[in-house]
Amino acid sequence: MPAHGIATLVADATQPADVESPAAASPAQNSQADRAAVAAPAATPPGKVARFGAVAFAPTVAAAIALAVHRWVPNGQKIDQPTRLYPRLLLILLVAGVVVGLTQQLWRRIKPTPWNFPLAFVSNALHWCVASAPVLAAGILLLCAWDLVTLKLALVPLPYFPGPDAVFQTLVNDWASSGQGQPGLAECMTSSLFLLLSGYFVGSFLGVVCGVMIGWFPAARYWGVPVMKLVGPVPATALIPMALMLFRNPTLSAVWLIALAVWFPVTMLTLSGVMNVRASYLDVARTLGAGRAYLIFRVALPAALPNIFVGLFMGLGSSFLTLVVAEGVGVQAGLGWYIDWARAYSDYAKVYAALIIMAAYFSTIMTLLFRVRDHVLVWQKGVIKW
Amino acid sequence: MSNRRTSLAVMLLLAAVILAVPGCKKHDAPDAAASPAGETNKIRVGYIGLTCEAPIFSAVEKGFFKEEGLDVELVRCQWATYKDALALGRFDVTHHLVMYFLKPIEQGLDVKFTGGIHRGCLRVQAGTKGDILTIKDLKGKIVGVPGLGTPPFMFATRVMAANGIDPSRDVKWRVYPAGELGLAVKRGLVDAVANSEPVGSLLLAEGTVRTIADQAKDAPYKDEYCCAVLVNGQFYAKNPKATAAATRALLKAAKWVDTNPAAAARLSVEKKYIASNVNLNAHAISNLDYVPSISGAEKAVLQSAQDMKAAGMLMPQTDLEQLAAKAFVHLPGVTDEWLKSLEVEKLADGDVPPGEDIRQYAQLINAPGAKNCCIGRK
Repeated sequence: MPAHGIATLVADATQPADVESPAAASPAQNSQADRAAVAAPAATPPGKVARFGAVAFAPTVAAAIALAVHRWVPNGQKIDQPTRLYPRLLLILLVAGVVVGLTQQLWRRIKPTPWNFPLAFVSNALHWCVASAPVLAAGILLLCAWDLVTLKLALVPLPYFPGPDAVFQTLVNDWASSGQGQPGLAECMTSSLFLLLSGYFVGSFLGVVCGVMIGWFPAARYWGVPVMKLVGPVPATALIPMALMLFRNPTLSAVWLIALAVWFPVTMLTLSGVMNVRASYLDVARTLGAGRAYLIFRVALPAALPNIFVGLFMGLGSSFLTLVVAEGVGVQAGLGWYIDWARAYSDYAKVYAALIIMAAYFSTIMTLLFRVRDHVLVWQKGVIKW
Repeated sequence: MSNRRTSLAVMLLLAAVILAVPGCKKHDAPDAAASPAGETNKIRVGYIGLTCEAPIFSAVEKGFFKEEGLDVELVRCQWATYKDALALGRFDVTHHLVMYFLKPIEQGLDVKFTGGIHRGCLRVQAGTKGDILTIKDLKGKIVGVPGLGTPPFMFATRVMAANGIDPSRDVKWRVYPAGELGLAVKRGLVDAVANSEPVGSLLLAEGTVRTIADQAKDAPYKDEYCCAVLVNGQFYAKNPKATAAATRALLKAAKWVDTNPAAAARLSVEKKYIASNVNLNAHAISNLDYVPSISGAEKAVLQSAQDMKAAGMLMPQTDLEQLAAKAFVHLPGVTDEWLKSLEVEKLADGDVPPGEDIRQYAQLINAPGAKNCCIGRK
């Protein structure tokens, strides 16, 4: 009973300074709805048939423009092989755009259940495509601009700026093997993902543990803070010899380097979160008879969670930054390893191909982390700007 | 108000973009408005601060550029952006490793070779604890390199291909930073390493490795030029005469360094071009083979291209003759005959006393403040 009571208490009282009253929150909601209405004609309440909109054909028009540019503007950059992939991709986009545009009223947001899962998935995805037609069109036009600036008009020099076709071609060519018998992008992707995730989990777990210890126990703070100040700003490159000495296995060395890069921001923010728990919460909890474990795990840690998530986001950024360095300690495949190699050869199509994959990884993991935060910190909804 | 704020943001963004472009410390902005008809006599020479760049420092200090009527400016650069700094016109001319630039040239990097400076500083070495005595023993082993695509990797690949080992299947490659290759051997993480000066000599002196292939000693590589004069393609197109003059100055300086290695070493250190000590530098320089050549460099370009293609480094559809023709240019007045007739002064204390031990050399390298020659950290 007291457990529940204090949790609600924390939830109620952890209102930061920028609290919005319900009255203030409602205009924000309205404006959000307005925005949705402007961006997406199809964003109608479920059940109602959406109005047929010409906006849904924007990607088709954009793809047609891009295709025309690619077909009829003469090449400025010299390339060895005719382009194949990029025009095909545009053609597929064009046809798909027409089909989706004509059937736009069919696609609605459906709540996925175990029974209708494939259908719901397709319907939701296509609904999203219709709703985000302007963004998709802008994306396709961006591809067209890239094609124009590089391959067509050669405004920027080779080898630094290959056209979209070269990059897409690399993604396909290097999928299974990246040449000279070395593993291809597929293996690099799984290998990097494994490194990133294991390093990230180890680092953030240790970071939270260390942060709570240092934040809670004065003795741990006395000894821990100087260590943090020493270790925190050391760049990963300088730690390579230590990584090699500590672990014989190259993967472990790499995981350790990434974990260290994640550990520092997570520890720092966890400890500041734990140290900034309002004394009143702790007093109230103690008065109600809470023990030390209870104070740490049920009061301090939940109160520090918003801070911890900031640390986790920062750690995610630094884990990606460290990836290239960590993959220079003898691993056999990986996106950073691949980029390093491609850069030595000035093969920038490969560099961009790997960067596209890394960007996709980053945004996916970031989205997942936001979902987790929204789930864990659901009590913040309505309390702060959501 | 918000307008001003926006324009400030845009300016900051622009500044950030400009700063992000790989840059070097430039003393003077290039004269962009130089008349297109008349050639410039201003030339910017890039350097990193390596032992083997002695001809660049000598050419400046001994006035070889001035003799050719050139107004020279030195631009100090970083390893990581060196290739790009040359190709994007941060400086006009330098000398550097042939193999390092060949693949980028195939990819479209606009730079040209104009003459050979020196030979050989790459090695393949096996750990003394293992049983690898020749290149053929490398089959099934793990080889450490400072990076796939770096010259030591390329050299090792070429040697293996020539010895019947398939470098893409029969060995495993592992990437370690150049400075940590020795550690990787000692920890048994790799069986052999491919490296460059002075890491090779250092490991040899420590007794960590034995050399199984040496670019400076083994045929056919010992006659191959590893470093050649490089010029930015656009600069060459606009200023062929100035390019020829700069090439002559550098080749003459190479000959001067060959005749007076100790003097060149002293000059590089005392004028603070490199962070090293005179003795160490003199030994490092005398280990290299500074015999400038035009035909040698041209041959080296073609030979490296052939071997690199055989090893799968160049694209299969690449025409080697065409690549070599694109990569190497012959300049007026820069010929082997001219080089032969060229005479340089011989200073009394210019040479290195013979018979000094490699262990001493290694000790000197271990001294604080020593700087790597040739390939360091990529």
